Amino acid sequence: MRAIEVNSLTKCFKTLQKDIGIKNSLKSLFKREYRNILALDDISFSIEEGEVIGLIGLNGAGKTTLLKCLAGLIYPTKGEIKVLNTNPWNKENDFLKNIGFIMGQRGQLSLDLSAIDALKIEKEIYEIDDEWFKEELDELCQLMRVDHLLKTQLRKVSLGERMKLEIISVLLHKPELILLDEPTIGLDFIAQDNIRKFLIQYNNEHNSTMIVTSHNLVDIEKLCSKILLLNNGKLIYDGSLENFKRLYALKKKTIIVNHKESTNFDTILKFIKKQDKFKTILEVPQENLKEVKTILGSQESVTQITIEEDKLEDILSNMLLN
Amino acid sequence: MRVVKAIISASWKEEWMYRVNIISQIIFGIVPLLINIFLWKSIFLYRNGYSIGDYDYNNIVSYFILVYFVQQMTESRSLSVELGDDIQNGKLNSQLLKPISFVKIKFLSFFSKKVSFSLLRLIPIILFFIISKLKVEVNSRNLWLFILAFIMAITIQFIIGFILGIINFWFEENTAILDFYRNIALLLSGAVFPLSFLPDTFFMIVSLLPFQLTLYFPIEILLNNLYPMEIRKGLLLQVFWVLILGIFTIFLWKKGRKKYSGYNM
Repeated sequence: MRAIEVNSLTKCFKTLQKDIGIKNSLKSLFKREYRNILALDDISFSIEEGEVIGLIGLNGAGKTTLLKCLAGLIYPTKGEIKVLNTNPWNKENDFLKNIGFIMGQRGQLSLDLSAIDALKIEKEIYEIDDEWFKEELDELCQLMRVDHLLKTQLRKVSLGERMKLEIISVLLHKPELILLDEPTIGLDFIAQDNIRKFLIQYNNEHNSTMIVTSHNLVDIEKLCSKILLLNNGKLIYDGSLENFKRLYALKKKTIIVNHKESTNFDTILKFIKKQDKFKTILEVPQENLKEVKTILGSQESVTQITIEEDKLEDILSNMLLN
Repeated sequence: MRVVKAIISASWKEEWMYRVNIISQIIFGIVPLLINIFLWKSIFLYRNGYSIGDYDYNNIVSYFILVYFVQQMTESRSLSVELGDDIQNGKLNSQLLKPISFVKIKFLSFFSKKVSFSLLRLIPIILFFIISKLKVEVNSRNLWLFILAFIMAITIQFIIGFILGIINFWFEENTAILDFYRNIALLLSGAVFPLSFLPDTFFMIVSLLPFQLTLYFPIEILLNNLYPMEIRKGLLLQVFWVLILGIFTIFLWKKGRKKYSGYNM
């Protein structure tokens, strides 16, 4: 079943432009200059139920705007969106009860309340029954290790721990679709790992659809099977992560060679990037790869050859910068 | 129903989190009232106790004590500021995601904060009535009518506060407009002087506007200064304004949400 279907979605923002200085601020009171920013430019894609999608792109690429459109928070300039078989803009209760939006940069729980009080409001709003709530809360709190924080006022809880509570609050009602905007921002590495594991487990158990944006590409690689790549508001790749890596594989591969002192590198001298006594690092263009491998393989003094896999980071920066 | 309970109890808890704030508001909030009372006391002393219009000293002090109470209870500037801020800073996002009407949440928390606050604010007022030996004769019929008019007043103030908050969809900064509104409302609602001090034609016009319906009108009911005809007319006017402003709010809300871009998120 299709969870999300988007057809030629476009979103245009009108923003005020102002030059530097008091004089220009005054000028701007009378004559305003606006610039139209095309945040999303004719985007179409669809997502199946249960898929975990990585939404990636540089700052300002339109990732958050797209998520906001999918959640029905902002009105698209053009195009059609269907999420869980309805138009999200209509804010139908059934729809809202089945989505969860985790915003890493902005919490949703009231900071004036204690965690448990804030979560209890969520419980009532989403009409979760008592027993279920208790069980679920216990489980989530143990997984995230935040049991001891439930009675503390949220304003006094550290950023990372608040993030964990935010995630709990969004998952309590078991949404079918979860939008995660930078879920691991500001978290320590153990917490990041916990949250990733937790999300994977959650996806396995509930077959929920997830869309994750993150600048932490480890998140994307560990969580997502498919990616959507946005650049300047345009969708430039939509497909599996593996395929993406293959399609945009770096032209040069890094090969690490462990060897004895006597090894002869004369024929492949031009590929050497760094050389120690027992270890040489080569950077070899794709087309010479086979040749280099045979040359290295034929030498007895070579003890180990490792061809490094391309890092997603490198592929992306290579692709987006060129 | 359980949602209602949860929201009410949460907004009480939010209020009560900051004890010093609450206590100082109760204690210092009464200072302007005292100043006002001393002012009128010296005015009446100067006039050798002769009444002004329908008001003698006893009446006028009761009037201003009630002004203080009703004003505090119906004040909706804080709602406008909160809403404006929600829009300006994108906090509105998380509220729009909830499967419950946004207006309903806001109204419930507004109303329940008012109720919790009023109980506290009643303490100094009752003390004041006892100490100053003022007598206000309230019959039970007027009390009920007052409560009805008072609830309508809170509703009107809520709607106006809501409108002045969501204009931030367009202006992004509503403080100047809020100040402007407050000054106009102070004069036209009867907070500075009883409106019957105004010339007749002026009073006629002002009495049709929503401002006095939120303050002067309910107080006059309680002080037994109105004929049944006038009370009926006032209540009908309240309903009229709730409808007009309510429809306008729905219109603005729908338009504004399309303009909203959920900044800062």
